[in-house]
Amino acid sequence: MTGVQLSFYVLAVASVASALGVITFKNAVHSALSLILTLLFLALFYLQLGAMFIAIVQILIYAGAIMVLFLFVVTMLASEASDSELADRIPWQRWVAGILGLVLVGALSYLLFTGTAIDSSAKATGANSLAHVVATQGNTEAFGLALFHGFAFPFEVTSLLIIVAILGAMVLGRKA
Amino acid sequence: MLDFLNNAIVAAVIKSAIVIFALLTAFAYMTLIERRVVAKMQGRLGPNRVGPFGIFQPVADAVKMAFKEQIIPTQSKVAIYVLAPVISVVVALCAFAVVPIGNSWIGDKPSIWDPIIGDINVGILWILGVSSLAVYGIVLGGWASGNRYSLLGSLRSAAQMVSYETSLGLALSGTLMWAGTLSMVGIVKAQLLYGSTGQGIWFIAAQPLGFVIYMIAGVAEVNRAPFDLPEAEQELTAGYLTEYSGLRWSLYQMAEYINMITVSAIASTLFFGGWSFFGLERIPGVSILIFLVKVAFFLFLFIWLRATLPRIRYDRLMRLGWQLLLPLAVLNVVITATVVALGWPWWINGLAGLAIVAGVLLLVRSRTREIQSGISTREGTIPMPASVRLARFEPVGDGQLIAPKKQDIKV
Repeated sequence: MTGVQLSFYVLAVASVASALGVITFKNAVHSALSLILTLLFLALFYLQLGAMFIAIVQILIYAGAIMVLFLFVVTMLASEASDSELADRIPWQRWVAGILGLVLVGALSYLLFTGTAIDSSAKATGANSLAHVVATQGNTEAFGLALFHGFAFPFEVTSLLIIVAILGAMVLGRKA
Repeated sequence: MLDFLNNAIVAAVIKSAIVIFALLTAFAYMTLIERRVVAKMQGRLGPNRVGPFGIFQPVADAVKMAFKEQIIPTQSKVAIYVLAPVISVVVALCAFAVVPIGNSWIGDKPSIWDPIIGDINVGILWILGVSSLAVYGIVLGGWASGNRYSLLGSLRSAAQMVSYETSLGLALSGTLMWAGTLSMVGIVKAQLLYGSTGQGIWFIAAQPLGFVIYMIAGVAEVNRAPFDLPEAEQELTAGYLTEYSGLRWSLYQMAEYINMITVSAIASTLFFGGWSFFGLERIPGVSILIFLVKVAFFLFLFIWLRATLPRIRYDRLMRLGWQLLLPLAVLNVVITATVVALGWPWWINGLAGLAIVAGVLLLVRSRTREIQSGISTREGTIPMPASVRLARFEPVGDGQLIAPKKQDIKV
């Protein structure tokens, strides 16, 4: 067994075990800690695959930001239910948001209908392939190129989806 | 016989040991220097009895701490209570792994014994990622103490660190655009006068706005005065530190000071050219000295701030972070991206940044004047005596003011 295989098995067992901990711990804080461990193990997986950028971003975003907010809520479980019917304090924001949204739709449509050449470079082989870009320009640059050229449309749509989900959660939370 | 020294892993382990030893020593003496400097600023003497100028005070403190009883409260969650200070220190030490402390020993030839532990190509992200984990030590410690004051302190800390982390990261991204790399060594090399990537300027010249935002957010990130709300003695009886004593308490102090050193090291590296000083860094060994002087300057700034500024109020803290720093940081990113993308020279970016800093300062100044002149109530404006002009009265409920009566104020 090679070192890579060995470390994979160790990581696999550890991450599955900590993931099980998330759903089996009675105490919510222990579950959250277990989830943080799982996320750190996943970062190690990325590191093992040579994806240093993704590994660090995994730590930075999930373990460093999202789970902090989770813990914040969990440790403060007895949160006061304050349902304030706030009026729309910035009435002009709808217009601005509408116009900016139109600009975004326009830019994305432009990319989608004219940017097929860039998209194909993400799947291409040889000098244009991702592996080649990673080798010549580095991890972060390759990731940025792929994200903002080839996958710009799915990326933006995903962020839109997340915003809609947040709004939905807010609406649900206010009714409760 | 010494062939094993050519192994990169052996070199990294030995360099890590040296850096950890240096950081712990620096922590011990920072406590002494801080007490002496603050005392000087307040017209006192400070600790000066143990050895000449009190230089053995840290040793005495360490011995005291080591023999002090480490209380574990019955209400605490023991495992997490014991683990939390360790998390803080380990995370603080890890962040220093990618900081370039000096130039290559011989010319520009890289070797495994260069004064940096690991030059990874996402260096600055590593520091941000690892230091974003620092909040766990505080949150878990406060929660596991089983004490309401501790819990409140840790919640404050979580909210504060998450709020200021966004501004901190955005403030750095302007510099990263100029450097065009995330590697700490690459960022220093981009600020050299020579070399293929050297642009010949320290990035403070192109990024004054980014630097100001970074320093404010950095002070908030390490919970130092005036942003030391999580450990406010008067409000929270020391917050998350309340139940900790002895060595575990000093572990938290250690983490705080090491984080201060890290923030100072990032400020020197990203905005003040790291170990470079107009070509002087080419003399072997001098580069380390230059770096230390720069870091020491920022550490002095931390002490200076603590001796000067009163603690900020919690709602003001949130307002400053979300409504002032974050929009300014986004503005800085937009300006920098425009300048870099259009290939304009660095001074356009610098002037724009300076103009914004000056504009915001003027705005704050004029608003303070407005507040200082008096209180406006329904009966008219009451002039305030000079001694209370910094106080500010805010409307409560339906615009009603809690303010002293007219006849109570002697002008």
